[in-house]
Amino acid sequence: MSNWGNWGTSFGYADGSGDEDEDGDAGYQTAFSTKDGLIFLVDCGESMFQKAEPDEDSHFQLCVKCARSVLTNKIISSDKDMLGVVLFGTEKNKNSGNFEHVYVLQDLDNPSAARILELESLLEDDYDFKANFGHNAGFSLSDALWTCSNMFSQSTQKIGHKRVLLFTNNDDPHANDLAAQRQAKTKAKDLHEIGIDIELMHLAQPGKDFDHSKFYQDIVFSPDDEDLGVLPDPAEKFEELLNRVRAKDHKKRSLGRLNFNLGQGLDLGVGVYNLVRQQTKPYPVKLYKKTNEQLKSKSRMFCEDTGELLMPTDIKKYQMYGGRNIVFEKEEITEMKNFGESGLVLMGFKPRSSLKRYFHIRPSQFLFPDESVVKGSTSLFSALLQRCLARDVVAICRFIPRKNSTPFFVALCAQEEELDEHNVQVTPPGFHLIYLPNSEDIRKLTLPEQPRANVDQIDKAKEVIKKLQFKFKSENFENPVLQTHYRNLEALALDRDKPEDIVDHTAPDFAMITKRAGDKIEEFKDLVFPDGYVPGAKQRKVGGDSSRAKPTVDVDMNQYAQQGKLGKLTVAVLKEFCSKNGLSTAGKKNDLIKTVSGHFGV
Amino acid sequence: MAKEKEAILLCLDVGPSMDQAPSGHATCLESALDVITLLLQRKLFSESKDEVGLVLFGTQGTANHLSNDGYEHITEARPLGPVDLDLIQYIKTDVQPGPQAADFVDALVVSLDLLRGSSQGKKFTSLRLLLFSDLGGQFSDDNLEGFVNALKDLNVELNFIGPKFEGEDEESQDGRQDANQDDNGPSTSDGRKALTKPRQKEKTPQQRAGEALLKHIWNQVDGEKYSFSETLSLLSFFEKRAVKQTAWKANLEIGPNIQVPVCGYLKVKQSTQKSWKSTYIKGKGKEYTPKTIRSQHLNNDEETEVEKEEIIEGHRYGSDIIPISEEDKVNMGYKPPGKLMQVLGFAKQDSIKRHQQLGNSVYCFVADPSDQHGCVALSAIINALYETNSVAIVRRTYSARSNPRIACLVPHIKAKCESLLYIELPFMEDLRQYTFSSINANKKNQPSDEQLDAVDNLISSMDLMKANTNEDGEEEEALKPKLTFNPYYQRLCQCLMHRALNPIGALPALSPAIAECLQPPAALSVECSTCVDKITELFKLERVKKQEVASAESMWKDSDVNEAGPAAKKPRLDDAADTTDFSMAGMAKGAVTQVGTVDPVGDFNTMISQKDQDRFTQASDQMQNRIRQLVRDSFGSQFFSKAMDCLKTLRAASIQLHEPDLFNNFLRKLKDELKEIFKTDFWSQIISEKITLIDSSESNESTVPKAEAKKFLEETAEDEEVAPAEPVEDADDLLDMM
Repeated sequence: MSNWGNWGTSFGYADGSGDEDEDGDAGYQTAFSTKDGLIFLVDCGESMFQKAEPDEDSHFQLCVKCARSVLTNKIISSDKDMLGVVLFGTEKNKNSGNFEHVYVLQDLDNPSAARILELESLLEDDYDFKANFGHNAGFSLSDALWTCSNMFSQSTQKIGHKRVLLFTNNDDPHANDLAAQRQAKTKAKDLHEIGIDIELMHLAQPGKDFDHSKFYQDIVFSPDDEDLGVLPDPAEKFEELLNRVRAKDHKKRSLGRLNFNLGQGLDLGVGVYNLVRQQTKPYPVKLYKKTNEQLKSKSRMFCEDTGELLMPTDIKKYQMYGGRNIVFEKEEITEMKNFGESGLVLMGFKPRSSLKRYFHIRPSQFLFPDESVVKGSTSLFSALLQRCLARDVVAICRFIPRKNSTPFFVALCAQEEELDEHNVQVTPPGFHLIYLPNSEDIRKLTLPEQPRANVDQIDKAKEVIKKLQFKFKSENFENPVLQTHYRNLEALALDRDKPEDIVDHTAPDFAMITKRAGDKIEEFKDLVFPDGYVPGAKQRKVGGDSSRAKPTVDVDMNQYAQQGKLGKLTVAVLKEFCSKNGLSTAGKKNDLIKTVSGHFGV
Repeated sequence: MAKEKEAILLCLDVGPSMDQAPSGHATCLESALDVITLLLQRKLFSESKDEVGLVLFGTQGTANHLSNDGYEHITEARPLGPVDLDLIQYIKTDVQPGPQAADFVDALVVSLDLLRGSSQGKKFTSLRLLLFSDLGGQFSDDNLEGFVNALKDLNVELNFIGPKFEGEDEESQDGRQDANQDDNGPSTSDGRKALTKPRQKEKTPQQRAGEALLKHIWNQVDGEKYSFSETLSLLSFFEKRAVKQTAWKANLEIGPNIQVPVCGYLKVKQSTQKSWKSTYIKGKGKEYTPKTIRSQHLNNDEETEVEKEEIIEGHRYGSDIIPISEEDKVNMGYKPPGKLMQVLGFAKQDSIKRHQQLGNSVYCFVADPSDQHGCVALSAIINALYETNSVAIVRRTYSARSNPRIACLVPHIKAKCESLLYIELPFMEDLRQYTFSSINANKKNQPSDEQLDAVDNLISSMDLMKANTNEDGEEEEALKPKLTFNPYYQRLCQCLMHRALNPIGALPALSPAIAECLQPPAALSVECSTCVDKITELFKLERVKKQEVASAESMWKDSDVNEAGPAAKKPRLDDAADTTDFSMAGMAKGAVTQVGTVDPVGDFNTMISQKDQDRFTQASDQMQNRIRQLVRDSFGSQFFSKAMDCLKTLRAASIQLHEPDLFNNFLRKLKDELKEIFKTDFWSQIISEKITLIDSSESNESTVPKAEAKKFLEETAEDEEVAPAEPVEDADDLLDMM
């Protein structure tokens, strides 16, 4: 079960949290403020339970693992999303429509610890599926889809985006039953019409191809804006399946739709997306100790001098310059930030090389054409993308993300679409929007001129670098802080004895470094450092000098301490004294004085 | 380390020759005051510690500490002190041309003496004397030698700002060329252009003699001379407060055995504006600082407040909330490894994608200069990285308690300095995998060759690398981040300055200089417009019309609400509100026959949308009165925005319903009325909102040509400038009395 450790693998994070924006404003006018709904519809035919090798996972286990993984990750990314698990092809039934062979294992609801535990129990080696659910090939896919549709419509919560992930390894479930085939197709079409997407997560049986054209091509309806043109290969491994589920388990959300103006009267529509954004540990919520009840936070403003409770309208804002408070109304401050309509305005083009690496003030965003603003945008966008790539230029634009937000200059970097060997999209086509600094943001540094290395030293350094070369991928570096946090939570929530250990990939692997480049590193050291070199040695030398003067310092110190004048000495002197005499150097100046006083028994 | 601190004494000529200029041109005094204002504003907003004093010469009266020695018509207006708003206000409103020319050498002597006197005992890193004059007055050079010696003794820099010197202007009409040209001050092309206008009058012999004298002084001491216009263009942008560079120090570790002491400096970080503070103003002059209190409450009817001791923190885990005790937190939390920077390995530069840079700053790392061997080691590493096209992948923790980040160190080699740029990289959790459709999968989106060519031409025509022209006539890159100013900061300073000098009144309109920065370079716009037209013609672009709610309100509500907000923002509203308001509230409204004060726009729209009878004239009349009333009753600009909304609504409706004359007459009347009731602030708002007469291009019924509509606002703009003349008169009276 080598994949087991991978269950912390996280998925893309939705933008619903609203804390994206550093400005603290309301953020983009998000097009979707509602939750996603996702149903795992899992085929429970007997072939799904066959194992190629005794210690491998069956297809069914892979699917449940996926569902479990999605659940745990939804908790991290968007715990308001609604998830459900439906089995079909079972002997037993449990659903609101009393359909045969369809079993709703988990109705649509937020992910929770209990649900994760339930899925985990299905994965246990000695779990007897047959006894608990049984198999029956006489199911109707139409009924299964209908059940899903019912679940969505019966949900008490409003669900924005609805999607069914259909897991199966059978490319022709109703091989000899034309009526059932027709029914399923009609039902799938119905679902599509009421806005439910069906995604096929197909698995390949050993030695068999999964033939799409037999049946499923009429079942699957992808949303228009995710149509890849080619279908991915069937998955065989957990990672492959998980990768595909990962790409589909949430609706990509644009931060907003904008106008991109290329010149007089020439506009196209684009959507803005966040593809990379720092994910931080969520803030804790405050609970009442006695009942663990969640508390409501209130903040009020009052005037200390008059004791009045103040309304927001009572407050004015000011900045102080030249000895005077310059006062504005809050609305005026908003008005000052108003530089007109939101959107992008093309300023011109520059070669890509003019975009320096250090032009970086915040993470980039991504642009993709949006037909709902201007029809025909995609083809102009595509032409622009192609020509920018061919001529290796970036478009420089003025960017106002939303009304009343201050303008930025940005560079648009074109990116080509790339698919991996399984036809899964690795990089999407579009422009990366890179924020450019202003003159105020680039600091003029005065740096000292320093001695340089000679050719031999550089060549040796090159050898070290060569030995320690690796292929960098962000995907290989989990954030140890986040992982620790969620595994601890998981352990508490799921009543585990202790959290699962994590490997901190950010810690350098000294053993590996020494094994691969130890001798080269030694050679490099011999070339650049003298014998007995201690890093930052100069400071040490200074320390050595003062150690010779130690007796005088000691006498002084005693005197100072006796007279209670230790406060006149600097922190550095006090600290030095402490460290020389084996005392604690912790704390602020007052603490140090106490320590030293204690030393002399004052 | 002591900060740089300069003492600057401004020595300003207000004599009669300074006040002369052909009509329509700025006088030398006006230019000088502009330069001084800009200079002071920059000092103010950069919160400079420099101190500034002001001496006027050519004043009617005499007020200086050397007046007993015969230095007349010289006034010490301000002793040396930090720049404050009073000084700026004084420059803006209180400096008046004097009736009597004064000796500029005398004035310099007085100024220098003042500078010497008031700089004593204060630690200034440099002293500077700035002379603003056209050198039009008589002077005697009796004192000259003593003065020059004093300049040398005190090490004072003497700068002169005035009209261009004789012989420097090659385009000047007499075409004289001075062979002894020793101009070392900056000279810009636009400075030259602007100067030909006021320089149409030839310099007097007096002025030439003055220039000769100044040149004589500069032969002995350091000094620079600048023209008004070049100084103006140099100073026209506000400057931010300089930040001192501070080093973040640590050892760069490569494996367990190599440690190189390094210093990191912030190189790029978005600068933040000074934060806004809250104040509560009660009555006149009573200001209090409001305090915010936060409290936690139970979710019951009484909303019982809960004490701090009874609160425990919890974290969400799906639908569950898991309480976490302090103990759990300490035992289970991530243990940071301490302050460090460690190399994990090396990677090729191209594996670090430009768009996957995280964080909001870039550091520049150099070796700690106190460790020579460390410097050599780091130099070897930087060069090796550079030559192998690699970067170092590191983890760094800022302090002992911070969480680790991963980042790359990119070699950055300049002639003078070798360094490593530190840029943060995303963790796996920070990346979002979104699948987008393949743009070219759909044949109909695939652009044709002709279309591609059109886009190609656009790219060629908008080459920013050639958009600017420098003083040597060479093409230069435009929009270099190092040279672009933050538009918001400029705007903020503009507003702060305006409000400081005009405490009541609306915000000023965006200054044209800032607005220009936000548009594509003018040099490109002509060439690219044909390309843009071609693209418009070749691509089928169609703006998707929003389903408009036919309630009158949305029809002429400012369209930007629709533009800015994504279509999906209010889809429900659009669908539901179909064409007529069938809601209970709408029916309950009944017939509206009056434009009230509460919701005048709504009332007006309801009235004119009543199809059964034409009430436009009636509604329009009532609306006009309502606008007048709102403006009249407004305390400060209190109701102006409401009145402005009414005015806009009225204008839009007048165009829509082909009744431009009613509106135009009203606007003409309003213009005069506003002046009468001293509500010219509202006029400035009308100007800034560009609410003109309805011209013939907007409505066929209108008899007003477009040009006239434009002029209508411009005329008032000029009136506006004369308007704040009252305090000036006061000052005049004062002078007369003296």
